[in-house]
Amino acid sequence: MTANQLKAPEQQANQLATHGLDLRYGDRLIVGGLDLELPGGAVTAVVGPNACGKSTLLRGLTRLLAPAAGTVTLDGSDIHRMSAKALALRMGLLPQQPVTPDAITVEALVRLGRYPHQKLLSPWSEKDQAAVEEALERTGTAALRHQPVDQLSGGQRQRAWIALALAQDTDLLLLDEPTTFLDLRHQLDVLDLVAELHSEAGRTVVMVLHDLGQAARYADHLVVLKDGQLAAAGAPADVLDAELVKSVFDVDCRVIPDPETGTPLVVPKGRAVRRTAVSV
Amino acid sequence: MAGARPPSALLRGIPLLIAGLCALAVCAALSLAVGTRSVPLSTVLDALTGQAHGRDAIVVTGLRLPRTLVGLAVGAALGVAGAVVQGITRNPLASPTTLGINNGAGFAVVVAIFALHLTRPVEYVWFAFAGAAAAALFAQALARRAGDLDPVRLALGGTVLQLVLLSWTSTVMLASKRSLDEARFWLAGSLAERPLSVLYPMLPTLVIGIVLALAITPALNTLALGDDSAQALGVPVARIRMAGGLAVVLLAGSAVAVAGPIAFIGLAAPHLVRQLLGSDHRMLVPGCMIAGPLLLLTADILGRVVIRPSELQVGIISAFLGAPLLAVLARKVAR
Amino acid sequence: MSDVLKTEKARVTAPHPAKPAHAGRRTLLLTGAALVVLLALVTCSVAIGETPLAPDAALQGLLGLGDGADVLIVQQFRAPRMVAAIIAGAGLAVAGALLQRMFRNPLASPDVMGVTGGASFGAVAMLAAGASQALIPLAALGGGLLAAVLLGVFGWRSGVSATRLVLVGLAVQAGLTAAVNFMVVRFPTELAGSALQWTTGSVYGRTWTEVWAAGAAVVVALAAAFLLHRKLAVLDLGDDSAGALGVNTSTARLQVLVTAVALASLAAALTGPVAFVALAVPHMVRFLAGPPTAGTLALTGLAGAVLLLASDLVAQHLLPVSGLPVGVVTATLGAPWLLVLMIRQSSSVNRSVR
Repeated sequence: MTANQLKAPEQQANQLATHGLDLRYGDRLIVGGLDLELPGGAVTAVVGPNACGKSTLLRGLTRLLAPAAGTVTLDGSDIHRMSAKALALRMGLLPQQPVTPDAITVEALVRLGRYPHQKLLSPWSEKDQAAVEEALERTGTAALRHQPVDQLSGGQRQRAWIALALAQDTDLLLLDEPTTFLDLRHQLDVLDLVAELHSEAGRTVVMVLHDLGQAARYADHLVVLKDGQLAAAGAPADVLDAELVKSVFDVDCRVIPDPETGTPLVVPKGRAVRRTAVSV
Repeated sequence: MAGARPPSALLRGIPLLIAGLCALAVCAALSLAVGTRSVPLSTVLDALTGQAHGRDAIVVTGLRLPRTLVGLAVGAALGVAGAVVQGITRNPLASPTTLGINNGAGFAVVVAIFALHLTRPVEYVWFAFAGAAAAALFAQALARRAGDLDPVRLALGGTVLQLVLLSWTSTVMLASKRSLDEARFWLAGSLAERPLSVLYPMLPTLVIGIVLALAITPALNTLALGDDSAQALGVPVARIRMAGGLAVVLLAGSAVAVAGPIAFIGLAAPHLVRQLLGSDHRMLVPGCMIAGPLLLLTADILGRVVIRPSELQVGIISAFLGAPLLAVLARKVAR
Repeated sequence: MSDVLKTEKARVTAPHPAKPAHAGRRTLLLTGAALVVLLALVTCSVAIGETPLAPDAALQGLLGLGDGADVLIVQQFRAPRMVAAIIAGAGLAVAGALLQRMFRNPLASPDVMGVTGGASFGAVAMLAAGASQALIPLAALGGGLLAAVLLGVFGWRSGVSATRLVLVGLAVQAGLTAAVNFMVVRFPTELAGSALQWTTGSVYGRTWTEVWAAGAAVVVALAAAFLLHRKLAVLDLGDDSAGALGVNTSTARLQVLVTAVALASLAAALTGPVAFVALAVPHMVRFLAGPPTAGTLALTGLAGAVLLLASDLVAQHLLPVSGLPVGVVTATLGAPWLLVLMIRQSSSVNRSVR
């Protein structure tokens, strides 16, 4: 267990932690006995090979999946003991494949993010509208507000969904592969937005990412999963090396400093046999 | 991905199919033996081979043999029609009933009874088939968009059509007591008093329907991946839907013409088979050809037993039986 | 990858029923129109009859003003029927809208999911037992709730899944319909006739007591439906997003289901299981007014009331055969509208069939 290698946790608010967490789908154990601390006020990236339990972990962290054993705590209190609404005031989630209701407009979608703040009979308040406006501004979707979400491009749609999570106005934001299906520019747009949310609004971000380089570049803290177990955790520069990539992804590589940022960059070693086959 | 299943996986279903056939044979034998007048199986065998004579033999060859054959044909037609209609609409809730087939036949028959004073099920056959076919074709015409069937529109249009026809049927029956009295028994769906002469005119349509359904099974597998993927795989989606629709009309139309509206077999059979054999249509369609008559004959036998010496229409029994079955399946299927 | 392409294409090609920006104003306009039509129909229904009244006299009579004889005719004989049609129409339509939206299935409606089958079963069983006419609405209500209980027993397994509930609903409906068929086949012709009459749906012979009792309950259920609307909108985002927004999806679905079942059972108790309204009115409103909002939900209720009242007027006064139940008219009157809308607009409604 490399959990012990974690640096002493900074005692900041918004700290998510798991203790002996087991997550199952039916009889299948996806995440087993996971002890994890996600530092508050930081950007954490969760990486790992396909089917290693990244998304499942995110669902466990947000109460969408009840643990088979163990607990998930937010600043020390068990999230499964909190009411759904109380948790929704602290933590927002962007699912991997969100369901867009038919013909809904961007603004109507973003307004739904205010749901946890509304009482049964309370009307739409100025505070609600202000939060929606800010979310639209921040994500650059204000001009699109009257457009139906299902007619937007992939990048625009993703930003609209992030705006929904922003309107929820939570200190913690969980994103499940926010860059999937986006082209390079839109991937960077989304990640820059996440970085900005962290630096300007001080939000704690936990996101599942596929690209190790992007994870190293944008995250303060890296969590590497393999087969539902923690393989490594810590600052990207400390954690990410050729040995780890080999053991987790089974890929021979070199890890060099990113010429732009100095963060670790994973460069797979040439595999001559594959070179022609891959170009499909 | 159903379409990518290797043949070896298909072969694993063969023993199950054979087991199904055995069960069907048992059912058919019971159907020949059980009823108001129970006949021992040995006598049944003798009667079939022409060695036995007397009242028992006449009951078996004269009444129960035609009834069992009709049950086999109708059940197979309904089962296959159900599998095909669920395949072309990609909707697990679709059934031949969804296309308005039962209600079309019902309305045509009620009108025929009202206007032409018909009294025997044999006389209803062509009216029922025509009504069923007209309703199903109309439902598909409604759903046609840009040369292709739109599954959602098909389901919605079919249901609307069904309600309209049902209300018209009720109107006729409420306006004429005689029609009500004649039609309500036919409308319950029954295999009783169906001599083979009812089945003969429907045999060609049944055979064509089955052949058509079997011919499009590989295409139905690709259709399950979505229209665009199917198109990309070179499947003529619109034409397959048309062929499937035609097969359903022929099969379910013949079934309702022979036995009256029997609602549940077409819905339950594919769900049952999918549980056992998976969703590959190459297994699903033959499986339904066995499961359909199996369900129908079982229901028919029960109908003869439950309130002896009288008997209950198979349409009612099949719904009574099928309903809990579907409920249990639903618990299993949908997490 | 092809999956992505598919959704992408569907998104680009699917035209929308209404420009979202105008949808709100459009809903308002349509609601106004529906109100005007409803008022006209109300006037007709209190004015037309064996003793025709002038529209103004009839409306005065409705309010208890004017000639004593007119007041009696209107208040005792015509108004209960009219109010029953309005309440039941609104209840059925809203129930259908709730179910269709929650299950994301255009065919989900009380007709398909067992509630109306249960109501028929209760009423016909009561007929078979030879009980008095006054007990039939209660039996229908009980039958509808029985169906809901069956739905719950079979459909509930650590949470509510949409597909499973719809399948179980179909099963419940089929079983109860079979039970009704069983009784109809075994009844003497006379009784079979009245059973058919009742199961087709009829507004005839409603008393004020029944109308007030059911009316009050329907109003409560309608209020609940509107309170649930916000939750329903969040449920549209899928289980994960809804859960992250603090909605307990299973509880929320159960609440919506109970509300819809209550609405449909109450309506069926008043008028019998009138077909078509619950299934089709939500679609018509959707085609006309665009994506669902609280406003369109109100419009749906109004449209349901309009359709049922208009159908009852047709059944009462325009059909050559007298005494036909309203249920034989709703579908005939409503279907052409829906079909025309379907043919004109391409189907961007509820693309997900399941």
